[in-house]
Amino acid sequence: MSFTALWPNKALLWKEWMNTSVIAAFFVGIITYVSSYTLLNEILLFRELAESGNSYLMTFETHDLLWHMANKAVVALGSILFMIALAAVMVGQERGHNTFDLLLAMPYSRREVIYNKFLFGFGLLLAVFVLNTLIMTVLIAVNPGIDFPFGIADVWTWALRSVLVLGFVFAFTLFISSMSGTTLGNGLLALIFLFFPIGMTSLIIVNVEFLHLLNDHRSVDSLLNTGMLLTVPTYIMGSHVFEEYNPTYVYGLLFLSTLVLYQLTQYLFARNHMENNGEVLMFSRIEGFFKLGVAVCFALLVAPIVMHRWDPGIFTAIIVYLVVGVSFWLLVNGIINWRRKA
Amino acid sequence: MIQIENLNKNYGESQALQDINLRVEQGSIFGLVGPNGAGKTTLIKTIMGVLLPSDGRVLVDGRDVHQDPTVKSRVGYVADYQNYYPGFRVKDMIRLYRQTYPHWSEERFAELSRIFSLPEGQKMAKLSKGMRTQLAVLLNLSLMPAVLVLDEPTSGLDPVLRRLVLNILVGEVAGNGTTIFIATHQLNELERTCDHVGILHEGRVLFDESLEQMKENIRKIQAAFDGELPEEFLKRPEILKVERQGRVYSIVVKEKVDEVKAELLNYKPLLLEDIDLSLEDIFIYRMGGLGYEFHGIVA
Amino acid sequence: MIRIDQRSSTPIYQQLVQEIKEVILRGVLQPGDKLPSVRELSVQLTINPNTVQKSYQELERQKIIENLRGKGTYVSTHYKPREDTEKLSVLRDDLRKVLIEAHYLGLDEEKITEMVRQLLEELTIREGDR
Repeated sequence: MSFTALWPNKALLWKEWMNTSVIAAFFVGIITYVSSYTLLNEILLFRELAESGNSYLMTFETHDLLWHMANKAVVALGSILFMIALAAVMVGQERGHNTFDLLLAMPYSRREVIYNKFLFGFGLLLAVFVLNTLIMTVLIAVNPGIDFPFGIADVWTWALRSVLVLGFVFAFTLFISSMSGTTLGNGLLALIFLFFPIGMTSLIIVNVEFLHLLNDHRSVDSLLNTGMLLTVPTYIMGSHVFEEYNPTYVYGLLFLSTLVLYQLTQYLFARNHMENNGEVLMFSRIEGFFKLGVAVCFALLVAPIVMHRWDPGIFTAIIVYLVVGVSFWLLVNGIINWRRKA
Repeated sequence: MIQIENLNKNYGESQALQDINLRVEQGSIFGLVGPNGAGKTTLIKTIMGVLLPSDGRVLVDGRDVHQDPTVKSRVGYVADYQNYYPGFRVKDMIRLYRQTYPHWSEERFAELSRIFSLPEGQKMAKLSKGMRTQLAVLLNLSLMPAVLVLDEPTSGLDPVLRRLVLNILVGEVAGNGTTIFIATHQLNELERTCDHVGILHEGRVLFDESLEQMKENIRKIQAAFDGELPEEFLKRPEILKVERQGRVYSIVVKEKVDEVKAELLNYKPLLLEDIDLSLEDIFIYRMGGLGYEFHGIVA
Repeated sequence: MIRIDQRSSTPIYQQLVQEIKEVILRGVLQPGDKLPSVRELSVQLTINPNTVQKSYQELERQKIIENLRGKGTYVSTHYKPREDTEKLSVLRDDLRKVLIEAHYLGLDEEKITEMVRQLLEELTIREGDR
């Protein structure tokens, strides 16, 4: 891997903006709405009550805005989905319309094209959060009379966490997109794998409890905690990660893993053969792993549901797991082959 | 100048391009022909850096296209189908090119815009194939190319536009010394415009020579005799094909045409004349001579 | 004025040489006249400029046209069609073949001379024209 200097390219960044402006605008709107706009509204309401001498009625309902300096789950999920959509579209659209053919025939290297995609996503993130944080800082600073339940430092922490987590999500989706050939594939696979650790641990717990293999609640809890720890998107929803671990390390680790994802994405795109565009999976070698993963996950998910009404013996249970697993393996196999033919 | 050295391209197990070596000199036009599925588009996309070669390299003016993509700032490319961002308007596409290519010429652009009148406000998704091609020609000539790579540039154009585009290309070579690499199955276009022609067949370039050489080296002679021509004469290695109808022999000769003709005169022909061979015939005979079955070069 | 037949087995550059010679022979272009530039002619005929260049070089070699550097290409002022023994023998052979064919078509001497006279008239080559 070479580390030759890469510069922001005006034409490429402008092109990304043209192609994603709708998603980007929605993202800016949502973040601004839940942060600066909501804070401003609360302040105006407080002022109104203060003028009529009823300020004691005002308890700062920051639930709509920031919840213990973390995002409400719905907001967090929304912003994560937008980030995934942004990255998925940025790559999926180029593949879908064969515009990589156009770009790569231009005097741009693959590295440069991908680099500017990252730059655009991170630029957007930084712009949105820095702008809103600045606005909120000013709003808090010019209203010393109000007893805000959070300080300026908290706002900046919120922004830093959001940028790092959403940046990770964005990088992760681009990484997945370097292996998947369609916008929908990019988005769904990213979503699945981002929530995979918590999903998988939950599945394991459900199955373990279903089969009465484990009755020790402490190990179940620690398993669940590990699952949460590995599920980065939960970090911006009031995760305990920041209380249990030194935040600096968490930030550092997030930043580092984002860098690693960037390098991996560059590596995969450099080896990417554009002729596979449009297939669900771009690299045939990961196909086996992918099918196996789907089969195992769905076996763990579906088998307990199928068996929950009766109490099967271990032998019957194994057969049900196998049947479900094999069926899903065949299903995925069929879908991949069908896409390939179409 | 374009140099292609030992270029190979594999798609999984199958070899799409095999050991391709070509050299297109500056200011010349190279024509690539071949039936559909021969690998023309694969070759062109590999030259342009869209596809990565499995082995070998492509040099433009001595610089490796895949290692050093900036060399493409003076390479124009008209693909077989123009892929544009569907949400873009014509003027957005123009902007993207203008910002991308450092040698972009507004003057040239204005000049060509008068020839191809394209609606600047039109969305890409609504442009016809012909209009996309025209836009591609317009954009890729305005970037002041030193090298132009064209994949069936005249397909989807009406005859008037087709002629116009070819005229512009020819003028480009004459005026700016541009090097052109063109894939086509329009043989008559090839003949007028190309210095050299290569045939791509099953991933290999079968031969690469000037059309004049090709035409001079292969002739069809029609001769009538009272008697029969001796077998050993007809088995000469230069004779590719013999057809006989009554007294009239049609003989396709490759190389040493004059020698064969002189010898034919010894057999006192009642009639001896050269028959014009179309380029297609020439290809067919040449390929046949190499043991290739040749179909559908003119698809 | 100049026509190129791409179906002919004669290479295009040779056709072009012949055509230009004929244009000069007919007096459409006269000694001292300027020929179109390589670029103009190639665009006009949609043929490769290198082919045009090659034809011009051939005509120059035959001293039919001359290239005045920086000014362009002109029909040579001292161009005099010369008898070329080698070419003459080729021409004689060609004529012989034509006459054989004419003979088989049932043309007699009188008809053949009549035809030649007509053709010469068409090409405006008359005795003493040189």
